[in-house]
Amino acid sequence: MEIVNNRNKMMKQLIFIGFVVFFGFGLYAQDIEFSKDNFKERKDELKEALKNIDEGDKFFEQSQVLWKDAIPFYLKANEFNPNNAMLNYKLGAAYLHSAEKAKALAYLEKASKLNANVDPQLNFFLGQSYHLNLDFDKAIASYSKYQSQVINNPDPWYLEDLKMRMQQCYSGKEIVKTPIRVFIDNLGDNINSKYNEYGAVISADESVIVYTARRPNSVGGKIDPMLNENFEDLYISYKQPNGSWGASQNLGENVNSNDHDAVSAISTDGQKFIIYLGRENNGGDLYESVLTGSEWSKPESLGKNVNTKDFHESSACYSPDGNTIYFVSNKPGGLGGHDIYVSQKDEKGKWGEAKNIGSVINTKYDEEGVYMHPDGKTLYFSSMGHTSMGGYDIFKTVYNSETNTWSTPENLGYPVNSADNDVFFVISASGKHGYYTSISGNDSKGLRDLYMITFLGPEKPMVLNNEDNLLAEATAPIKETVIAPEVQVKEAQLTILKGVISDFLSKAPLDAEIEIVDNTANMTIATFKSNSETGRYLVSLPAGKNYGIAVKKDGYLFHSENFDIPNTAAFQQVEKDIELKQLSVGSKIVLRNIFFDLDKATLRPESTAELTRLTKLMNDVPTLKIELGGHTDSRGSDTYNQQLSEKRAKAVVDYLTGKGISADRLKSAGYGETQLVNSCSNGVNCTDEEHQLNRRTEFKVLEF
Amino acid sequence: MKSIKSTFFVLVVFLTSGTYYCFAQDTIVEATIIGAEDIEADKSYNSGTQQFQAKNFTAAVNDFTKAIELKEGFTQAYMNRGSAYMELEEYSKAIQDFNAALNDDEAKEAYYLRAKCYDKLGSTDKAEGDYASAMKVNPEDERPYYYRGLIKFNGGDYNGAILDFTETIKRNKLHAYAYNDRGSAKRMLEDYDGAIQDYKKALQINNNLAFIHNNLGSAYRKKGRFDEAITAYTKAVSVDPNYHLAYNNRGSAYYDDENYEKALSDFSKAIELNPDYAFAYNNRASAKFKLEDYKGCIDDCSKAIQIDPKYAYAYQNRGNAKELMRDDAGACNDWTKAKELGASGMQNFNGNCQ
Repeated sequence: MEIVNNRNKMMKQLIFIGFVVFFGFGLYAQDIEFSKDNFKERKDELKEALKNIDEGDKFFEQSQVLWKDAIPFYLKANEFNPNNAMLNYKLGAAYLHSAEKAKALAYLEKASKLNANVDPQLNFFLGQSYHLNLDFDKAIASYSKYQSQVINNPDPWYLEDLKMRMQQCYSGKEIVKTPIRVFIDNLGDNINSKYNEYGAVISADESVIVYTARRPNSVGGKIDPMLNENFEDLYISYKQPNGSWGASQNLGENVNSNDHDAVSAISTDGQKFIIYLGRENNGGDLYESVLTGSEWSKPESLGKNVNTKDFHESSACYSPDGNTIYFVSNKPGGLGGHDIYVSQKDEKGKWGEAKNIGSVINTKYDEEGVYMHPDGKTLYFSSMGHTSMGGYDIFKTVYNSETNTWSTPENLGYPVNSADNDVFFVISASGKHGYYTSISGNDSKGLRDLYMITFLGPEKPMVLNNEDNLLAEATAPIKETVIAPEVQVKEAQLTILKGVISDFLSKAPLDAEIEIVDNTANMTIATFKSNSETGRYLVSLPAGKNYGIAVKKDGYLFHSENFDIPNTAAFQQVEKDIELKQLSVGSKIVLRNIFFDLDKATLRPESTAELTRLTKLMNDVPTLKIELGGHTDSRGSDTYNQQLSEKRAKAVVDYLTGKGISADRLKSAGYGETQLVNSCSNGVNCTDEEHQLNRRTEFKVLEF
Repeated sequence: MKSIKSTFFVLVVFLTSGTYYCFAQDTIVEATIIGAEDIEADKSYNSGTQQFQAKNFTAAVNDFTKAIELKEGFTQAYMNRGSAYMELEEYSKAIQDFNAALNDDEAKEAYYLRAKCYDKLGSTDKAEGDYASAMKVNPEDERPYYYRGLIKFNGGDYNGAILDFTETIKRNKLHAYAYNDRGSAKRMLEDYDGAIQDYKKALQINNNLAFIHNNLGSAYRKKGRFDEAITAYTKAVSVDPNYHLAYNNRGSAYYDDENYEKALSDFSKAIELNPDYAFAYNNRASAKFKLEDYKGCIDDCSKAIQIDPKYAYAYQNRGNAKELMRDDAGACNDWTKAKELGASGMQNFNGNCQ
């Protein structure tokens, strides 16, 4: 099989050029001709250089396929004079048509700098070089320049070709943005060589590979004059236990002829090949060889429904069930160039009428290298159309059996596809590996080589992990101590009351009972006795209460004292000697624990204990008759004070009578401010405490 | 009431010892002390308070206990003993004391403190209830709102947490913590703009809290504002040069910004500060991956796995590196392990490693 190189068509014809523009002298200043004037001192070297140029030109003036042979000569001349535009141009052009295309660009750019008009095809070749280098914008620019040169060429092919290339550049710009994740590995020295290897097919389990190569040991030994290469033969290699391919072997004379023999397909069961045979008289046809035992049969034509006499059937593949073949032909009636066709096996086992697979897949450009995946619905092929980024690109399309349609072909992406020809793609059943031919691999052994693509699938993201201290309290806890403050110990707010209790008349110490009452709560807090020998007593009264102190002894009138100690009172000591009066007519007792509302005669509740005490006395001594006397201090009018004291005295009497004490035992009297116990009379400045002494209720024994 | 006899007549009252010695010369004096037990109780209470402030919490408990025994219904002693138990982390006992204190309507702090105890014991429902009661008792106190907000945050109720932190801020406009935590709650709801606002507000109040700078950085990173994120993280580590977590985060911001060299440097710094920080090893592995140092990536992932054998993402990342090292079996095994451990990116992985 050989790929029809459309560029040959162009190279064989002279390009019609509308005009040649000569620029100012300055632009040619850098372009150094191989002339005696320029190399006066180096005549011998100049002569040698010119000789090399002539040798190189012998190849350069022939078919483009021979340009590569000019390179060694041109390089020698270039060493002598690297600044000749034409020589740089020729070197660039030659490299562009060799296996080392990447080297072309530097020479072509230099040629352009030295003389932008050195050759009419410079921009075209520059465009191709930029294109191959994936520098799509520059490629488009160079193609555009060339386009303006050939715009008036009557052959529409030139413009169509440029249009195709520029479109490929636009496609390429998009495709390279999202490269697919693959490993691309050269199949190695047991498969590839410095010669052309291409068109591999593999068994479903990837254990056998058959491919086409143009090597000196081809059957028949013929050399293609057009390409200056040996004719094609089929080779086979088996995978070794260590995973590498074993040494390749020519499939031999049964399969290979003296003409071009190229493998196109292998059946799923590995029992059949489709082989391309290129004969001078058949334009290239497809044959089938069948494995019987260990022998491959002589290839037989796939028949007239597939092969044509004058046109080129270049490749084919089987469907998984072997009942369908897809094949490539440039016969008339297609959409343009080589197209893909499909043929079904009939009931007789012959291939039926072929149908063009349609415009979803076929384009006005060439399609080639068709391969059906073992799934029976995914078709791989190469095309110069669709969204190719340069030359042939590999595409895939999937057949929908419900709608009987093919999906829009999808470019397999970069770097599987390059800007050069990428063809004859086959894929393993697992989908993990693909095999294809490429001329652009950096690790090529020479010319076209076979590569294996390992598809890594979608990128698996790298995952980073981070953490934060989201909550402040968890990160730096607030140290909070909630504690109530100390209390003020009441012992510092004691009132110590002490003294001696004695008989009023004899002054003899008495062991009397001392009752401490909380007047507010009307509750006796404590009861104790004074010392019987000394009559001494001592009591500590914590601050914060209104205390009524009653000193009692049988046979004596009780003695009443009041201590109203506020919470804030400081420690104090009070000496209070108490003389108890025996019950006798005329004896008076001041009732210190009888309280009235302000300016009223209403007895306050705090008076209860004292009144109770008084009631008890009246009950204990049934013959006792008393007078309750009310006394005020000197503040206020005499009349007011008189009235108030009368009312208050009566209030006490009323209380007693209310408690069952006979009224005839009671008498009330109001004395107003007439019996002050101190000098705090009207107009005299006294303290509240001094006035307080005058505000009292007294009872006087009238009779008992 | 307490009664003590003495044979001396000089009346001296020692007020500090809690015992009344009354001395009367040549006489026996009955000294009647009203409310003496209360006084003893007060003295014990004060002693306990002093012990508490000196951080002798066990001694404080003993003193408060004595005070409680001497004076029935001694609310303050219950409260303080409860606080002492809290310091000793004996929260159940503290709760009992606060229960007792709550018999007194004046024990306003009891609900709040009991809530904190329930919180510590994990009884968040009870804690929330007590915080609510504390709010009623003292509506102007921001603390119950703040701590209830934390409970809600930790329970995943971020909206509820935001409300409580907002109430906290209403009552204390300088509550930097509340701003930070509200920002974090907003972040959990993916309101990153709101989070940024709150973090910035917190920093206006207190610019020396490294973790808030860090949080701000992370909110910026979520928004893709990498420069600002880096600035915030840088501030975090300038406040706290040992803040390995912030270095790790800054490294990730550099990574997101595709500055893998700087990312690697920061991850290394995080590791230097905390050699057992598995995240930093994993992240540094990712930076190395991007720099095509696949072997370095594998080594760092392995170290992360060594620190945390269940680190799913380290397995995933190591598998990615092994794949590019052409170790398909190794990659497959690592991805399988990652999937087993729950790595979310490996859910669809169905590789057969045979």
